[in-house]
Amino acid sequence: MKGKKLLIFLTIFFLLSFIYIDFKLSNFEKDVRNEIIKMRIFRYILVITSGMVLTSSGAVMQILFKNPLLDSYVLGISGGGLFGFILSSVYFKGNLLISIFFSFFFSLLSALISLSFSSNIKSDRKVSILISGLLVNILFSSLVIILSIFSKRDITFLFYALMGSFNHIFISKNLFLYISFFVTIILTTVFIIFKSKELDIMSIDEDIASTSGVNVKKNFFFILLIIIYQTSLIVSFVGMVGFVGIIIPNILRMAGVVKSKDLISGSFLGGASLILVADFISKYSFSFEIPIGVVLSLFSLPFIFWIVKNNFE
Amino acid sequence: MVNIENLKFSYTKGKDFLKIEDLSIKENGIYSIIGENGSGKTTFLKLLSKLLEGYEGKIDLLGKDLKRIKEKEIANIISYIPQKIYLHYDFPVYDFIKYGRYSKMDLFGNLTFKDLKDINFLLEKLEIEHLKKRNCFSLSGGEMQLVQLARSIFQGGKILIMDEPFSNIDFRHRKKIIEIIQELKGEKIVLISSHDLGICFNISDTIVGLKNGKMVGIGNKDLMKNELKKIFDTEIKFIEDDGKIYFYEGV
Repeated sequence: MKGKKLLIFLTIFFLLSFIYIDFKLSNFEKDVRNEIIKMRIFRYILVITSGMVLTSSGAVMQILFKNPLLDSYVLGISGGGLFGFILSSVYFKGNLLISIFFSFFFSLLSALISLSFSSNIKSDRKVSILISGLLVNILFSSLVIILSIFSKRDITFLFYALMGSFNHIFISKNLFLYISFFVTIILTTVFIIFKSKELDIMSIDEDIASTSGVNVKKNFFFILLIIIYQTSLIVSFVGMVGFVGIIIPNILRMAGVVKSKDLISGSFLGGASLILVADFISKYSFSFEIPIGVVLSLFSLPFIFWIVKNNFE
Repeated sequence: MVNIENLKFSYTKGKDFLKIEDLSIKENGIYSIIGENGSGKTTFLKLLSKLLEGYEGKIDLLGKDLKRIKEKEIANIISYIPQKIYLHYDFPVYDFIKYGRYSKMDLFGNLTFKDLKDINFLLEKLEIEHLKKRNCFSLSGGEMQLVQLARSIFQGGKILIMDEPFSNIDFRHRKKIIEIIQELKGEKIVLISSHDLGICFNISDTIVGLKNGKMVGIGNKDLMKNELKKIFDTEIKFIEDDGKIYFYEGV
């Protein structure tokens, strides 16, 4: 991406961060204020990490599947992950490691189901993957609801899990695990950035990619596996947050960003900014907090319509 | 340099789609493959490019068994231009060509200074310098074909495979592509599949006829012009003049 665009992005981002952390705090006493800021910084880190990961994974999936309407939510990966997480939280109360393993396992399962569904639908590949993702999403959302009812959970928990929220952080307060997961997210992200040249060639044409020396199948599944891992982590922390991974990469493409590396790095900043704004709105627009997924979906609908109008004939 | 023995390939089990018993190409030059739609031209070229798996028999490229050639090695042996390229997202022309040498890139996707110089040389040679800063979506069919040709020459495969390079290309670009191919024939094996018999017969050193997945004749143009009825099941008329052959439908 060009330096100037990046600079504008960064400025907006920092302004947002400042407002986000310091909003409506002037009336509090100093001690309370510091305490609130600490909590907000914690939330802030979670918000921007998930914004970055969800958006960049959306960008990568759109390249992998050559479909501008995909992200981990649409393909059903998040749904599977959430089901796995809640399943394990019912049977292994509170063990974060096991929960995340379950979440990963079911994300992987849902991706496999989606892929095998779509390969059996004799339609345009762009459409068939969307349909199968939709079906898998419905399947796992229903399972999540059944599971929540059986385990006699509070119904608001279900709402926040299905629509995503940074208020109801589901996990225990084990800081060490937090940090280690954060590190794995950074490592896998760096790995994907290094894979951006393969992504570029694969986005051109798969036959050209293989005759140029790219192992298309291996790269496809490896990169998909990494995205599934990242998504399952984020889902375990904040629930299902959709659409941010669709909007930002498409806006970037509209602005003339075409190479994978630029798309991914632009997605980091754009995704983090958008999700900060959405979280801000979800927190302060009413006297109570609404799930961030609701804000994002409402905001995305016109965009999604516009993308469909431009990409599907 | 290319050696094929008892090649058998099928898309559905039990039904051979392509069956070539013996074909060998020993020297550089232009080789055309002609045949009806569905006669196996594209399948044959894809098999040679290692894009289809599960064939029986033996394919040797430059003395190496195709099944044993590693991913990155194939880039130095084959340069492949598909029949039609489906670009889903826009891409810069310069990077499109640059990625031809993916196998020589370092971890960060950089090429050596010499490689970059080669790109500029090629752009100049193919007279497409003005396209350098544009994106692929804005190119015409003919321009895109030239860019693809530049990419595959830059890749440097010893065997250049072009699947229907002349379909939907205007006259000017077609002429340019033919000129470039003819320059390349001294140093590469150029394999072309085409429905344009005129071009095939007048530029090729050897013509291969395919029918229903089987080879029905191989040879130079004087030999093959008499085999046309066998390949296409219909009378094809032509006029010979000054060593060139001009085809017409005869309607």
